[in-house]
Amino acid sequence: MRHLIIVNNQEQTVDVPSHTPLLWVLRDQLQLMGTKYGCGVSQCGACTVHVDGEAMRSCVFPISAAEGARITTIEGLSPTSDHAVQKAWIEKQVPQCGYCQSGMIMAAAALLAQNPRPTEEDIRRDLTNICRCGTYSDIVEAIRSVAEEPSND
Amino acid sequence: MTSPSRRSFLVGSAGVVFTIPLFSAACSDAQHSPYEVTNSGGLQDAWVHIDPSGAIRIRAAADEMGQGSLTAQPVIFAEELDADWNDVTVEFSDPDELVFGNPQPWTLGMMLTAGSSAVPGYFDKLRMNGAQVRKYLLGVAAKQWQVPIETLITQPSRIIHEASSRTMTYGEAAGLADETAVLPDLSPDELKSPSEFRLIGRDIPRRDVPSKTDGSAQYAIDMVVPDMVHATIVRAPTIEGRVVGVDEGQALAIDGVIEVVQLDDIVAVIANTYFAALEGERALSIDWSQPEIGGDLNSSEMLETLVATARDLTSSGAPIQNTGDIERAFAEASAVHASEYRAEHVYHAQMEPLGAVASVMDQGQKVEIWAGTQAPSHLLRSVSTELGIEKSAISLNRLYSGGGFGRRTTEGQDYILDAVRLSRHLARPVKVTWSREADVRAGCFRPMAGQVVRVAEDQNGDLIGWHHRIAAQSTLRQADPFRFTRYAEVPYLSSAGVDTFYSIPSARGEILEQAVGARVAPLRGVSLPTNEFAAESMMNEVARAKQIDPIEFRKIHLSQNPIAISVLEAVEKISPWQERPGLGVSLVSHGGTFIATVAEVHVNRATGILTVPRVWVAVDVGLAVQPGNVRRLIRGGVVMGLSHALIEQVTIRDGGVEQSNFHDYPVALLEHAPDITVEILETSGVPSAVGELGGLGVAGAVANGFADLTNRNIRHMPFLPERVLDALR
Repeated sequence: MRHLIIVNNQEQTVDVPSHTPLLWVLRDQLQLMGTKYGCGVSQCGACTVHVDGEAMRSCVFPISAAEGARITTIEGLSPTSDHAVQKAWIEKQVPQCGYCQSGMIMAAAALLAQNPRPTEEDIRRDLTNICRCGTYSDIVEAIRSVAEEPSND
Repeated sequence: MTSPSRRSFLVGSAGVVFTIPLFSAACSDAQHSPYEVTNSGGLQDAWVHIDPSGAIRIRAAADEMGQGSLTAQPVIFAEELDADWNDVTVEFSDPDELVFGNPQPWTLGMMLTAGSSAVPGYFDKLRMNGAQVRKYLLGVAAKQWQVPIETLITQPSRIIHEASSRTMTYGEAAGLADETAVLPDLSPDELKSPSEFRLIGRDIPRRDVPSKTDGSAQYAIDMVVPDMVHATIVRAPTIEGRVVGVDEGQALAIDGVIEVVQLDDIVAVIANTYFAALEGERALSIDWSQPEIGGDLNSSEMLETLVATARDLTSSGAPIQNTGDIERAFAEASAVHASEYRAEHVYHAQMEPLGAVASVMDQGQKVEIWAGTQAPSHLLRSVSTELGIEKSAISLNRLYSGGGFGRRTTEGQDYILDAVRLSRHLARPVKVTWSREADVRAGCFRPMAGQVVRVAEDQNGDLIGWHHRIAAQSTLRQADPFRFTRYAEVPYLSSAGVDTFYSIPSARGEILEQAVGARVAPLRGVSLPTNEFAAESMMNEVARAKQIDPIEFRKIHLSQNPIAISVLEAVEKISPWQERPGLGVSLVSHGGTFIATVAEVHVNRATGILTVPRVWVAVDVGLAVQPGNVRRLIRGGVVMGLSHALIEQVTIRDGGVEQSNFHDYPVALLEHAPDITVEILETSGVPSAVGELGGLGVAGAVANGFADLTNRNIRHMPFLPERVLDALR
């Protein structure tokens, strides 16, 4: 079945079964490999993208539900990869193996978009993605550094 | 082609050494000479390429699985080359173990990123080679300018003759290099003194990090090659299980599924898209044989068997430590402390599900592989055996590992061999990606362990005997028979932490190896987290019985260990140690150093839930090549260690793993992550192991904090609520 979706500001038509999760459309059809498969059951968050600005776990989000929605992946978060969260991630040297970090960055960016000055409490409650390397304290530090930037209003 | 030469090396710690026969990994298919440089469009040595433009490319031998070696190894080389880091790019070396083999003796010369050895293992080798290339470049300039080499100095990426104010960039010198040359001899006293370091000890940003923030970092799962098909794998639940029958009808009916392949111990679904393969996997119904080994394994019963074995003092195991007269110490003891400790299987849970891309060509005579692996030497050997081809016919593209933690060290390299076998079968390129469920069910776990620790006191209250017995499956026998047989079949990897470093006149540590029949592999710290959980819990139990401050008590028994004492004193200083109760300490030795951990423990007495809001760690890493990275690795290790201590366990019933994904195998999330303070000491000036350190002492410190808070002991890892409630009853 054909589905029209808007990914990183580009209209895309894909021909896949309607129950295909958005994750696999992004990876297998559109070759957007930054969004990762970690569990397939919405537990780990490695597949997090934005759907109409909201963080969404794409591994359980069927393409039929994405019809017409604006989808942003890690590749489209910033045209030059310099979104405040990406810059903070580099500044704080957050990633270790890095596999979960696309999802982490997308989750953090969505959080900051809705709540520009999250407390540590907010961050701990909102970010439920798994990082097996245990970069959590660096993630908190990076998000807080973005939140404290004067321009972030 | 291999001509093994027998020599010996020493392994062990705490003053205990074993002589192990070692076969050098010499083989004739070397691609590089470690001593030769060539010049064809730039200076080329095994480790470095210097372009006439001045661009410098430095290779890293180690895998990059998040520990930062892809940057740290080139930093060490660049330091002695005296390169301007801005000129340097980094890349993976090819898998030539003659040049890039790990110098740590226990790797047997293999390319093996394990045991936290990427920096300490290669440190001298990288410095020497970097300095030799620098010296060679100096020689080129000396010849060009007709001046004595002694009159030349270097500044980053340039050679300077101060008397004549002439300079030559490294690029210019590389352009003038001989077509072939031998690197000049260098004595270690020609290396920089640490005060001259410009890169080592500074925080050089990791080169892999930017690509890990924009989605462009490439892991095996991201690899696409022309004409490639996708595959999921279902592996037999047990090591020796085989396919008996497959009902594949429903899988084949799925749009996009091409074929279902049975290969002895695996069933693979081949499809045009990964999602179709995943759906196909879920639709399969497979009958497996139930082999004798592991076929009826029930882990909870087996754990009790292990504990009973450890308890039965009439049996003896492989002696890892044996000093003084242990029988006499216990016969003469005025008091004996003895406790049993249990630890369950745990799973690596690397975030990238295992997989690889392989393309077998020329009727099986050639293969190209794209994968992340900690053990390229094992991989080449396994593929060479599987396909019956020379290693030179294998082309390996090393990619980032989306987490390793030991899972990618196994000799069989199962997840990569899957792709090779399927590509041969289908005669086309295949990308294998294990589903998370397959990754859990065919996981190779940290072995469960049953342990007994006994301590003898004389009438003065002094400790006179220490006896630690561990009953467990050998990690090495199954995961790495190549090394196991060459280590004289002693399961050394299971032994770390059984040999006490405390000064006690009589001490015995022994491993009672048991044929459990589970799939096992090294996991970050191998046996240390569980063995030290037992040893450090016992040390704490004795201290508490004697009403001595647990840090003081440890220090009394560390007379020959200034590093151990200094990390204990450091952790006491940075933590609110005097504000107990609710704090526990542990001390662990690894890779030539010590780590002291203090954990703050809270317990909900109604639910049995333990929480650990704060952890303090002091460690002496000798020399921190990348200090910020050291801190981050240690903090990450603490989180993983806490996850293992509190929530993670794999259980096996009737031969099958009961868990399947993160809903029934939860791991630590951000909400569980403690506030972690790390104190780094650098006493020796020589780098120690770091990568595994952070997690090693967490379980012991948490158990001891629990005892400090509740006056009860918890002796079964992980400390699940029901076990906490049991301990409180």
